[in-house]
Amino acid sequence: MTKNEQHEARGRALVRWLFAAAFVFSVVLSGLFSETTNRAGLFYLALGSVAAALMGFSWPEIGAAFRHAFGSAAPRESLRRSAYFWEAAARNAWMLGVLGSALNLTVALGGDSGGIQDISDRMIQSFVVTLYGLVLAVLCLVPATKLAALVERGAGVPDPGPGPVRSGLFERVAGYVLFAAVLGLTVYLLVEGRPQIGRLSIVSVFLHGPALLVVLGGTIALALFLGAGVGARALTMGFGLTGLVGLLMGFIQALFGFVHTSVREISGAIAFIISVASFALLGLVAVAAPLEDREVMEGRRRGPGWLSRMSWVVFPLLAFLFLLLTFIMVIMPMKQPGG
Amino acid sequence: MTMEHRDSPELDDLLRRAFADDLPADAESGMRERIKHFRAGAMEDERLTAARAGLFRKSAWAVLSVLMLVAGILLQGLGSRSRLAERIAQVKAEFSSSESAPRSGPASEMRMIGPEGRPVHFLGDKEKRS
Repeated sequence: MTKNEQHEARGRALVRWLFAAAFVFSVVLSGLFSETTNRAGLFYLALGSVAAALMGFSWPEIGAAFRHAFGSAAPRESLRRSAYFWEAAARNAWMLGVLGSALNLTVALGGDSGGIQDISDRMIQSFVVTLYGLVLAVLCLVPATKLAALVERGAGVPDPGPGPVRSGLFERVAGYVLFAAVLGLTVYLLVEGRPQIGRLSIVSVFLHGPALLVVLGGTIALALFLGAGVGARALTMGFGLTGLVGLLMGFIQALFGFVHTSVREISGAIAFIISVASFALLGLVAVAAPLEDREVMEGRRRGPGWLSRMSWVVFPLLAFLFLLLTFIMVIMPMKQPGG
Repeated sequence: MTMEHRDSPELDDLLRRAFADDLPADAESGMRERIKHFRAGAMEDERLTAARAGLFRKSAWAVLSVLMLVAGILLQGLGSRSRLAERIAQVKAEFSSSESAPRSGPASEMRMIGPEGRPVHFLGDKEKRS
Protein backbone atom coordinates (compact mmCIF):
# COMPACT_ATOMS: atom_id res chain seq x y z
CA MET A 1 0.00 0.00 0.00
CA THR A 2 1.46 3.36 -1.08
CA LYS A 3 1.44 6.44 1.15
CA ASN A 4 -1.33 8.05 -0.91
CA GLU A 5 -3.52 4.96 -0.59
CA GLN A 6 -2.90 4.91 3.16
CA HIS A 7 -3.96 8.57 3.45
CA GLU A 8 -7.09 7.84 1.43
CA ALA A 9 -7.97 4.86 3.64
CA ARG A 10 -7.51 6.95 6.78
CA GLY A 11 -9.64 9.74 5.32
CA ARG A 12 -12.44 7.30 4.54
CA ALA A 13 -12.21 5.85 8.05
CA LEU A 14 -12.36 9.35 9.55
CA VAL A 15 -15.50 10.17 7.56
CA ARG A 16 -17.06 6.92 8.75
CA TRP A 17 -16.28 7.75 12.38
CA LEU A 18 -17.63 11.29 12.00
CA PHE A 19 -20.80 9.85 10.53
CA ALA A 20 -21.05 7.43 13.46
CA ALA A 21 -20.52 10.24 15.98
CA ALA A 22 -23.25 12.28 14.28
CA PHE A 23 -25.53 9.24 14.47
CA VAL A 24 -24.97 8.86 18.24
CA PHE A 25 -25.31 12.59 18.78
CA SER A 26 -28.63 12.69 16.92
CA VAL A 27 -29.99 9.71 18.92
CA VAL A 28 -29.07 11.41 22.22
CA LEU A 29 -30.37 14.78 21.02
CA SER A 30 -33.70 13.32 19.87
CA GLY A 31 -34.02 11.81 23.33
CA LEU A 32 -33.40 15.22 24.91
CA PHE A 33 -36.17 16.81 22.88
CA SER A 34 -38.64 14.02 23.47
CA GLU A 35 -37.70 13.94 27.20
CA THR A 36 -36.68 10.30 27.07
CA THR A 37 -33.00 10.85 27.85
CA ASN A 38 -31.67 8.70 30.64
CA ARG A 39 -28.56 10.55 31.83
CA ALA A 40 -27.64 7.93 34.39
CA GLY A 41 -28.03 5.32 31.66
CA LEU A 42 -25.77 7.22 29.26
CA PHE A 43 -23.13 7.62 31.96
CA TYR A 44 -23.39 3.94 32.87
CA LEU A 45 -23.16 2.72 29.29
CA ALA A 46 -20.25 4.93 28.26
CA LEU A 47 -18.05 4.21 31.28
CA GLY A 48 -19.32 0.65 31.63
CA SER A 49 -18.19 -0.10 28.06
CA VAL A 50 -14.72 1.29 28.84
CA ALA A 51 -14.56 -0.86 31.98
CA ALA A 52 -15.73 -3.95 30.10
CA ALA A 53 -13.06 -3.38 27.42
CA LEU A 54 -10.36 -3.10 30.09
CA MET A 55 -11.58 -6.30 31.78
CA GLY A 56 -10.92 -8.31 28.62
CA PHE A 57 -8.14 -6.51 26.74
CA SER A 58 -4.77 -4.90 27.39
CA TRP A 59 -3.88 -1.29 26.51
CA PRO A 60 -1.76 -2.26 23.46
CA GLU A 61 -4.61 -4.43 22.12
CA ILE A 62 -7.14 -1.61 22.57
CA GLY A 63 -4.76 0.92 20.99
CA ALA A 64 -4.10 -1.36 18.01
CA ALA A 65 -7.85 -1.93 17.51
CA PHE A 66 -8.44 1.85 17.33
CA ARG A 67 -5.49 2.34 14.96
CA HIS A 68 -6.70 -0.42 12.66
CA ALA A 69 -10.24 0.97 12.73
CA PHE A 70 -8.76 4.25 11.44
CA GLY A 71 -7.22 2.42 8.52
CA SER A 72 -3.61 1.82 9.52
CA ALA A 73 -2.00 -1.19 7.87
CA ALA A 74 -1.14 -4.23 9.98
CA PRO A 75 -0.38 -7.94 9.74
CA ARG A 76 -3.38 -10.18 9.11
CA GLU A 77 -3.29 -11.76 12.57
CA SER A 78 -3.28 -8.33 14.17
CA LEU A 79 -6.26 -7.27 12.05
CA ARG A 80 -8.09 -10.43 13.09
CA ARG A 81 -7.54 -9.64 16.76
CA SER A 82 -8.70 -6.07 16.27
CA ALA A 83 -11.84 -7.32 14.51
CA TYR A 84 -12.47 -9.52 17.54
CA PHE A 85 -11.97 -6.53 19.87
CA TRP A 86 -14.69 -4.57 18.05
CA GLU A 87 -17.00 -7.57 18.05
CA ALA A 88 -16.45 -7.90 21.80
CA ALA A 89 -17.09 -4.16 22.27
CA ALA A 90 -20.40 -4.52 20.40
CA ARG A 91 -21.28 -7.54 22.51
CA ASN A 92 -20.45 -5.66 25.73
CA ALA A 93 -22.53 -2.64 24.71
CA TRP A 94 -25.54 -4.83 23.92
CA MET A 95 -25.30 -6.83 27.16
CA LEU A 96 -24.58 -3.73 29.26
CA GLY A 97 -27.61 -2.01 27.73
CA VAL A 98 -29.98 -4.78 28.81
CA LEU A 99 -28.25 -5.08 32.19
CA GLY A 100 -28.70 -1.33 32.64
CA SER A 101 -32.40 -1.69 31.92
CA ALA A 102 -32.72 -4.48 34.49
CA LEU A 103 -30.86 -2.44 37.16
CA ASN A 104 -32.88 0.67 36.33
CA LEU A 105 -36.13 -1.27 36.55
CA THR A 106 -35.07 -2.69 39.92
CA VAL A 107 -34.38 0.80 41.28
CA ALA A 108 -37.63 2.16 39.78
CA LEU A 109 -39.70 -0.62 41.33
CA GLY A 110 -37.71 -1.06 44.51
CA GLY A 111 -37.63 2.55 45.64
CA ASP A 112 -40.43 4.58 47.12
CA SER A 113 -42.35 6.20 44.33
CA GLY A 114 -43.93 9.59 43.89
CA GLY A 115 -47.13 8.09 42.55
CA ILE A 116 -48.11 6.00 39.59
CA GLN A 117 -47.15 8.59 36.99
CA ASP A 118 -43.64 8.89 38.44
CA ILE A 119 -43.04 5.16 38.66
CA SER A 120 -44.44 4.58 35.15
CA ASP A 121 -42.09 7.22 33.73
CA ARG A 122 -39.10 5.70 35.50
CA MET A 123 -39.97 2.18 34.37
CA ILE A 124 -40.25 3.26 30.73
CA GLN A 125 -37.04 5.29 31.02
CA SER A 126 -35.24 2.17 32.16
CA PHE A 127 -35.79 0.60 28.72
CA VAL A 128 -34.03 3.53 27.05
CA VAL A 129 -30.69 2.15 28.28
CA THR A 130 -31.15 -0.90 26.04
CA LEU A 131 -31.68 1.47 23.11
CA TYR A 132 -28.38 3.21 23.93
CA GLY A 133 -26.67 -0.15 24.18
CA LEU A 134 -28.05 -1.23 20.82
CA VAL A 135 -26.91 1.99 19.12
CA LEU A 136 -23.41 1.61 20.57
CA ALA A 137 -23.32 -2.06 19.57
CA VAL A 138 -24.23 -1.21 15.97
CA LEU A 139 -21.53 1.44 15.99
CA CYS A 140 -18.89 -1.05 17.19
CA LEU A 141 -20.01 -3.64 14.65
CA VAL A 142 -19.01 -1.34 11.78
CA PRO A 143 -15.21 -1.58 12.35
CA ALA A 144 -15.62 -5.24 13.35
CA THR A 145 -17.25 -6.06 10.01
CA LYS A 146 -14.77 -3.95 8.04
CA LEU A 147 -11.73 -5.52 9.67
CA ALA A 148 -13.15 -9.04 9.38
CA ALA A 149 -13.73 -8.42 5.66
CA LEU A 150 -10.11 -7.25 5.29
CA VAL A 151 -8.89 -10.43 6.97
CA GLU A 152 -11.09 -12.57 4.72
CA ARG A 153 -9.84 -10.76 1.60
CA GLY A 154 -6.29 -11.51 2.71
CA ALA A 155 -5.40 -7.82 3.02
CA GLY A 156 -2.72 -6.58 5.39
CA VAL A 157 1.03 -6.71 5.39
CA PRO A 158 2.80 -10.10 5.60
CA ASP A 159 2.56 -11.73 8.98
CA PRO A 160 5.87 -11.58 10.93
CA GLY A 161 4.75 -14.41 13.20
CA PRO A 162 3.19 -14.45 16.65
CA GLY A 163 4.30 -11.46 18.71
CA PRO A 164 4.41 -11.22 22.51
CA VAL A 165 0.99 -11.14 24.17
CA ARG A 166 0.59 -9.24 27.44
CA SER A 167 -1.72 -10.74 30.03
CA GLY A 168 -2.99 -7.24 30.92
CA LEU A 169 -3.38 -7.91 34.64
CA PHE A 170 -3.21 -4.21 35.52
CA GLU A 171 -5.90 -3.36 32.94
CA ARG A 172 -8.11 -6.15 34.22
CA VAL A 173 -7.90 -4.98 37.83
CA ALA A 174 -8.50 -1.38 36.71
CA GLY A 175 -11.45 -2.57 34.60
CA TYR A 176 -13.09 -4.37 37.51
CA VAL A 177 -12.56 -1.42 39.87
CA LEU A 178 -13.99 0.98 37.28
CA PHE A 179 -16.94 -1.33 36.61
CA ALA A 180 -17.79 -1.56 40.32
CA ALA A 181 -17.50 2.22 40.64
CA VAL A 182 -19.72 2.76 37.58
CA LEU A 183 -22.40 0.41 38.96
CA GLY A 184 -22.30 2.12 42.35
CA LEU A 185 -22.40 5.62 40.89
CA THR A 186 -25.24 4.72 38.51
CA VAL A 187 -27.36 3.42 41.37
CA TYR A 188 -26.47 6.55 43.35
CA LEU A 189 -27.54 8.77 40.42
CA LEU A 190 -30.80 6.84 40.09
CA VAL A 191 -31.74 7.06 43.78
CA GLU A 192 -30.40 10.60 44.20
CA GLY A 193 -33.04 12.95 45.52
CA ARG A 194 -35.09 10.10 46.89
CA PRO A 195 -34.25 10.12 50.60
CA GLN A 196 -36.80 7.38 51.34
CA ILE A 197 -34.41 4.77 49.98
CA GLY A 198 -31.77 3.96 52.55
CA ARG A 199 -28.40 2.54 51.54
CA LEU A 200 -29.19 -0.73 53.25
CA SER A 201 -32.62 -1.09 51.73
CA ILE A 202 -31.36 -0.56 48.16
CA VAL A 203 -28.83 -3.34 48.74
CA SER A 204 -31.60 -5.58 50.04
CA VAL A 205 -33.64 -4.74 46.93
CA PHE A 206 -30.82 -5.89 44.65
CA LEU A 207 -29.85 -9.00 46.62
CA HIS A 208 -32.70 -11.31 45.75
CA GLY A 209 -31.50 -14.50 47.45
CA PRO A 210 -33.33 -17.19 45.42
CA ALA A 211 -32.32 -15.61 42.09
CA LEU A 212 -28.68 -15.37 43.16
CA LEU A 213 -28.68 -19.01 44.32
CA VAL A 214 -30.27 -20.28 41.11
CA VAL A 215 -27.90 -18.35 38.81
CA LEU A 216 -24.73 -19.18 40.75
CA GLY A 217 -25.66 -22.81 41.49
CA GLY A 218 -26.81 -23.50 37.94
CA THR A 219 -23.76 -21.90 36.36
CA ILE A 220 -21.27 -23.75 38.55
CA ALA A 221 -23.08 -27.06 38.01
CA LEU A 222 -23.13 -26.61 34.23
CA ALA A 223 -19.50 -25.47 34.10
CA LEU A 224 -18.44 -28.55 36.12
CA PHE A 225 -20.49 -30.79 33.87
CA LEU A 226 -18.90 -29.35 30.71
CA GLY A 227 -15.41 -29.74 32.17
CA ALA A 228 -12.22 -27.69 32.12
CA GLY A 229 -11.45 -28.47 28.47
CA VAL A 230 -14.24 -26.21 27.26
CA GLY A 231 -12.64 -23.21 28.98
CA ALA A 232 -14.55 -20.00 29.56
CA ARG A 233 -17.24 -21.09 27.11
CA ALA A 234 -18.59 -23.27 29.93
CA LEU A 235 -19.24 -20.15 32.01
CA THR A 236 -20.85 -18.32 29.08
CA MET A 237 -23.20 -21.24 28.49
CA GLY A 238 -23.74 -21.61 32.24
CA PHE A 239 -24.83 -18.02 32.79
CA GLY A 240 -26.83 -17.92 29.56
CA LEU A 241 -28.71 -21.19 30.02
CA THR A 242 -29.25 -20.81 33.78
CA GLY A 243 -30.52 -17.29 33.17
CA LEU A 244 -32.93 -18.56 30.54
CA VAL A 245 -34.19 -21.32 32.85
CA GLY A 246 -34.66 -18.75 35.63
CA LEU A 247 -36.58 -16.39 33.36
CA LEU A 248 -38.92 -19.20 32.29
CA MET A 249 -39.37 -20.34 35.91
CA GLY A 250 -40.32 -16.84 36.97
CA PHE A 251 -42.68 -16.42 34.04
CA ILE A 252 -44.46 -19.70 34.75
CA GLN A 253 -44.80 -18.73 38.43
CA ALA A 254 -46.28 -15.39 37.37
CA LEU A 255 -48.82 -17.16 35.14
CA PHE A 256 -49.81 -19.33 38.12
CA GLY A 257 -50.13 -16.13 40.14
CA PHE A 258 -52.58 -14.71 37.61
CA VAL A 259 -54.60 -17.93 37.64
CA HIS A 260 -54.65 -17.96 41.47
CA THR A 261 -55.26 -14.16 41.50
CA SER A 262 -52.41 -13.87 44.00
CA VAL A 263 -50.58 -10.54 43.88
CA ARG A 264 -47.98 -11.94 46.27
CA GLU A 265 -47.14 -14.79 43.89
CA ILE A 266 -47.02 -12.49 40.86
CA SER A 267 -44.82 -9.89 42.56
CA GLY A 268 -42.48 -12.64 43.79
CA ALA A 269 -42.20 -13.97 40.23
CA ILE A 270 -41.60 -10.50 38.77
CA ALA A 271 -38.86 -9.83 41.33
CA PHE A 272 -37.31 -13.20 40.45
CA ILE A 273 -37.37 -12.49 36.68
CA ILE A 274 -35.74 -9.07 37.06
CA SER A 275 -33.10 -10.36 39.50
CA VAL A 276 -32.26 -13.45 37.43
CA ALA A 277 -31.83 -11.27 34.34
CA SER A 278 -29.55 -8.91 36.30
CA PHE A 279 -27.36 -11.62 37.85
CA ALA A 280 -27.02 -13.69 34.67
CA LEU A 281 -26.12 -10.62 32.57
CA LEU A 282 -23.70 -9.43 35.25
CA GLY A 283 -22.03 -12.85 35.18
CA LEU A 284 -21.81 -12.77 31.38
CA VAL A 285 -20.37 -9.24 31.27
CA ALA A 286 -18.00 -9.39 34.24
CA VAL A 287 -16.92 -13.04 34.39
CA ALA A 288 -17.50 -15.13 31.28
CA ALA A 289 -16.91 -12.60 28.48
CA PRO A 290 -13.54 -11.23 29.76
CA LEU A 291 -12.24 -14.79 30.25
CA GLU A 292 -13.25 -15.71 26.69
CA ASP A 293 -11.59 -12.52 25.44
CA ARG A 294 -8.30 -13.47 27.10
CA GLU A 295 -8.48 -16.98 25.62
CA VAL A 296 -8.85 -15.55 22.12
CA MET A 297 -6.28 -12.75 22.49
CA GLU A 298 -3.68 -15.08 24.03
CA GLY A 299 -4.15 -17.49 21.13
CA ARG A 300 -5.55 -20.35 23.18
CA ARG A 301 -8.56 -20.37 20.85
CA ARG A 302 -9.07 -19.06 17.32
CA GLY A 303 -12.33 -17.26 18.18
CA PRO A 304 -15.52 -17.58 20.18
CA GLY A 305 -17.72 -20.60 19.51
CA TRP A 306 -21.14 -20.24 17.91
CA LEU A 307 -22.83 -21.20 21.20
CA SER A 308 -21.04 -18.34 22.97
CA ARG A 309 -22.04 -15.91 20.24
CA MET A 310 -25.63 -17.11 20.49
CA SER A 311 -25.60 -16.70 24.29
CA TRP A 312 -24.30 -13.13 23.94
CA VAL A 313 -26.96 -12.14 21.41
CA VAL A 314 -30.00 -14.22 22.28
CA PHE A 315 -29.95 -14.21 26.08
CA PRO A 316 -29.91 -10.38 26.46
CA LEU A 317 -32.68 -10.16 23.84
CA LEU A 318 -34.81 -12.68 25.74
CA ALA A 319 -34.02 -10.94 29.03
CA PHE A 320 -35.17 -7.64 27.52
CA LEU A 321 -38.42 -9.22 26.30
CA PHE A 322 -39.03 -10.69 29.75
CA LEU A 323 -38.38 -7.28 31.32
CA LEU A 324 -41.03 -5.85 28.99
CA LEU A 325 -43.37 -8.63 30.13
CA THR A 326 -42.72 -7.76 33.78
CA PHE A 327 -43.59 -4.12 32.99
CA ILE A 328 -46.90 -5.27 31.48
CA MET A 329 -47.53 -7.57 34.45
CA VAL A 330 -46.92 -4.72 36.92
CA ILE A 331 -49.26 -2.24 35.24
CA MET A 332 -51.93 -4.83 34.45
CA PRO A 333 -54.73 -4.39 37.03
CA MET A 334 -55.92 -7.52 38.79
CA LYS A 335 -59.58 -8.22 39.18
CA GLN A 336 -61.63 -10.96 40.73
CA PRO A 337 -65.38 -11.50 40.67
CA GLY A 338 -66.90 -9.50 43.50
CA GLY A 339 -69.40 -10.91 45.91
CA MET B 1 13.18 -49.93 49.37
CA THR B 2 10.95 -47.61 51.35
CA MET B 3 10.40 -43.91 51.73
CA GLU B 4 11.61 -44.06 55.32
CA HIS B 5 15.14 -43.06 56.16
CA ARG B 6 16.92 -45.59 58.35
CA ASP B 7 20.28 -45.11 59.99
CA SER B 8 22.28 -48.24 60.61
CA PRO B 9 26.01 -47.55 61.24
CA GLU B 10 26.95 -51.28 61.18
CA LEU B 11 25.25 -51.91 57.84
CA ASP B 12 26.74 -48.75 56.35
CA ASP B 13 30.18 -49.82 57.50
CA LEU B 14 29.77 -53.33 56.08
CA LEU B 15 28.64 -52.00 52.70
CA ARG B 16 31.49 -49.49 52.62
CA ARG B 17 34.02 -52.26 53.22
CA ALA B 18 32.44 -54.80 50.83
CA PHE B 19 32.18 -52.30 47.96
CA ALA B 20 35.38 -50.39 48.62
CA ASP B 21 36.09 -49.93 44.90
CA ASP B 22 33.22 -50.00 42.42
CA LEU B 23 29.89 -51.76 42.49
CA PRO B 24 29.68 -54.92 40.41
CA ALA B 25 27.97 -54.12 37.08
CA ASP B 26 24.96 -56.40 37.66
CA ALA B 27 24.43 -54.99 41.18
CA GLU B 28 24.65 -51.46 39.80
CA SER B 29 22.16 -52.08 36.99
CA GLY B 30 19.84 -53.86 39.41
CA MET B 31 19.97 -50.96 41.83
CA ARG B 32 19.41 -48.46 39.04
CA GLU B 33 16.38 -50.43 37.91
CA ARG B 34 14.98 -50.47 41.44
CA ILE B 35 15.61 -46.76 41.91
CA LYS B 36 13.85 -46.08 38.61
CA HIS B 37 10.83 -48.13 39.70
CA PHE B 38 10.82 -46.45 43.08
CA ARG B 39 10.87 -42.98 41.54
CA ALA B 40 8.10 -43.87 39.08
CA GLY B 41 6.01 -45.26 41.93
CA ALA B 42 6.53 -42.16 44.03
CA MET B 43 5.52 -39.93 41.12
CA GLU B 44 2.49 -42.09 40.42
CA ASP B 45 1.50 -41.76 44.09
CA GLU B 46 1.79 -37.97 43.87
CA ARG B 47 -0.26 -37.94 40.70
CA LEU B 48 -2.92 -40.15 42.28
CA THR B 49 -3.03 -37.97 45.40
CA ALA B 50 -3.42 -34.84 43.26
CA ALA B 51 -6.12 -36.51 41.16
CA ARG B 52 -7.96 -37.59 44.30
CA ALA B 53 -7.77 -34.07 45.73
CA GLY B 54 -9.03 -32.66 42.41
CA LEU B 55 -11.90 -35.12 42.34
CA PHE B 56 -12.80 -34.25 45.93
CA ARG B 57 -12.75 -30.52 45.14
CA LYS B 58 -14.91 -31.07 42.07
CA SER B 59 -17.35 -33.24 44.00
CA ALA B 60 -17.59 -30.64 46.77
CA TRP B 61 -18.31 -27.90 44.21
CA ALA B 62 -20.84 -30.12 42.45
CA VAL B 63 -22.69 -30.86 45.70
CA LEU B 64 -22.56 -27.17 46.69
CA SER B 65 -23.84 -26.00 43.31
CA VAL B 66 -26.71 -28.49 43.28
CA LEU B 67 -27.61 -27.49 46.85
CA MET B 68 -27.58 -23.82 45.86
CA LEU B 69 -29.76 -24.52 42.85
CA VAL B 70 -32.27 -26.58 44.82
CA ALA B 71 -32.33 -24.06 47.68
CA GLY B 72 -32.95 -21.21 45.24
CA ILE B 73 -35.79 -23.02 43.49
CA LEU B 74 -37.35 -24.07 46.82
CA LEU B 75 -37.08 -20.59 48.33
CA GLN B 76 -38.67 -19.06 45.25
CA GLY B 77 -41.39 -21.71 45.08
CA LEU B 78 -42.24 -21.39 48.75
CA GLY B 79 -42.59 -17.62 48.36
CA SER B 80 -39.72 -16.34 50.51
CA ARG B 81 -40.01 -12.65 51.42
CA SER B 82 -38.06 -10.19 49.35
CA ARG B 83 -37.92 -6.40 49.60
CA LEU B 84 -38.26 -6.03 45.84
CA ALA B 85 -41.29 -8.35 45.69
CA GLU B 86 -42.98 -6.42 48.51
CA ARG B 87 -42.44 -3.14 46.69
CA ILE B 88 -43.71 -4.61 43.40
CA ALA B 89 -46.84 -5.81 45.21
CA GLN B 90 -47.44 -2.27 46.51
CA VAL B 91 -46.88 -0.75 43.08
CA LYS B 92 -49.19 -3.30 41.47
CA ALA B 93 -51.87 -2.55 44.02
CA GLU B 94 -51.50 1.18 43.25
CA PHE B 95 -51.94 0.49 39.55
CA SER B 96 -54.95 -1.72 40.23
CA SER B 97 -56.58 0.87 42.43
CA SER B 98 -55.99 3.74 40.00
CA GLU B 99 -57.39 1.70 37.13
CA SER B 100 -60.61 0.81 38.92
CA ALA B 101 -61.25 4.03 40.87
CA PRO B 102 -63.73 5.73 38.52
CA ARG B 103 -65.95 2.74 37.99
CA SER B 104 -65.76 0.80 41.21
CA GLY B 105 -67.65 1.14 44.43
CA PRO B 106 -69.04 -1.02 47.20
CA ALA B 107 -71.73 -2.34 44.85
CA SER B 108 -69.41 -2.92 41.96
CA GLU B 109 -69.40 -6.28 40.20
CA MET B 110 -65.61 -6.28 40.06
CA ARG B 111 -63.19 -5.29 42.81
CA MET B 112 -59.44 -4.99 43.02
CA ILE B 113 -57.26 -7.16 45.18
CA GLY B 114 -54.17 -6.17 47.13
CA PRO B 115 -50.92 -8.06 47.84
CA GLU B 116 -52.39 -10.31 50.49
CA GLY B 117 -55.55 -11.04 48.57
CA ARG B 118 -57.50 -8.38 50.50
CA PRO B 119 -59.84 -6.08 48.58
CA VAL B 120 -58.64 -2.51 47.98
CA HIS B 121 -60.91 0.36 49.06
CA PHE B 122 -60.93 3.60 47.16
CA LEU B 123 -61.30 7.12 48.47
CA GLY B 124 -60.84 9.14 45.31
CA ASP B 125 -58.39 9.77 42.50
CA LYS B 126 -55.31 9.77 44.75
CA GLU B 127 -56.36 6.98 47.01
CA LYS B 128 -53.91 4.49 48.45
CA ARG B 129 -54.39 0.85 49.31
CA SER B 130 -56.00 0.47 52.77
